[in-house]
Amino acid sequence: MNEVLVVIVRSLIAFFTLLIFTRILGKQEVSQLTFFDYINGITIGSIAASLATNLNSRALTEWVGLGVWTGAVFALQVITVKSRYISKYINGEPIVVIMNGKIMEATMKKMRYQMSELLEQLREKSIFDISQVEFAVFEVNGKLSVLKKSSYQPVTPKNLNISTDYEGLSAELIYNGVVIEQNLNQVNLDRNWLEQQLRANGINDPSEVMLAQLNTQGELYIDKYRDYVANPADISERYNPKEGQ
Amino acid sequence: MNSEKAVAYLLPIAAIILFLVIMLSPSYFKGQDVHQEINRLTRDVAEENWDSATARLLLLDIEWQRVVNRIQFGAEREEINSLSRSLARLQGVINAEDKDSALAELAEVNYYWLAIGR
Repeated sequence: MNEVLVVIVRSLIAFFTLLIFTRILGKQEVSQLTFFDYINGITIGSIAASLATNLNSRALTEWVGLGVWTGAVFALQVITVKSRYISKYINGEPIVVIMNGKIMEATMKKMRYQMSELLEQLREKSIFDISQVEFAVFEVNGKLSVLKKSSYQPVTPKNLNISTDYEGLSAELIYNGVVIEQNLNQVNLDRNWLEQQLRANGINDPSEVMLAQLNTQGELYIDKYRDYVANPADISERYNPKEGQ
Repeated sequence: MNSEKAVAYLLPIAAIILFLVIMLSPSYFKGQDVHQEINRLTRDVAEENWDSATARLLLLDIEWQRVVNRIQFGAEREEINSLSRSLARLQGVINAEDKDSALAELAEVNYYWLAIGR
């Protein structure tokens, strides 16, 4: 038995199975995961690791475990989407911890949520004065959503009755030096127009461009592979000649 | 369904089928040759035909190594190692021409063989 070869094959099976299964489970940002989702993720990863390297168990049994766990998570996802009641039962509900500027101590105590944690999460949202807060909601993913009192909210163009231009999604016309013809057609432009714009910016070939984007105002943003920056900022801390002595 | 979408669906399905074939290899690819050699060897030992048993054990060992290459990706390491260890012990008792121990060892080899891929 060639153990190295077996580990290579089983690792490839585990890797691509995990890839397929996570695609089935869909997109969910890590920051949006509930505690239960997080534990599920760890368990699925742990089973996949065992499938790859634990040669004392049959590959199929580990794989079936992985499939059942993924299937259970998928089933819960479907059920929670269909039923709001079950969703609340499984994932919990957002809890209001500051209501009309008042801290809900009893609710916080019930949730074992400390005052220091509340203040920390407010600071993370650049709120250092709790009197600015009208409502704060502790979400099921552990994040805090804050609604400031209207007098502390930033002024918007609407407040000032200023008309604004429409702003939509920018179209990527060149990506990694390759012209994306489909996007060009969608904005009713052609390659000749693009080449003309590139020449106007001193670029002879699209392959010199890393990214070219057209915004809804018709402005073309071009970033070349070769960047000529007079004084590049260095934020590295590994070696600073001024502090090196 | 356009061809790009079809490939996007068919590729993971094909991959999963391939993975299942590899993982089920102990059940489908172990064959019957080893089992037949165990039965022939058991007959030789029962008749105390030691020269034939020695030659037969060599054949059994070669056949077993061939099967290991086919089933190693799906089988348990301990299943494979147990059978290999048992064959090594069998070599010793056949060399010693100890019929009782050889038959006991052959029964164990047969048990391990049947357990693979079950």
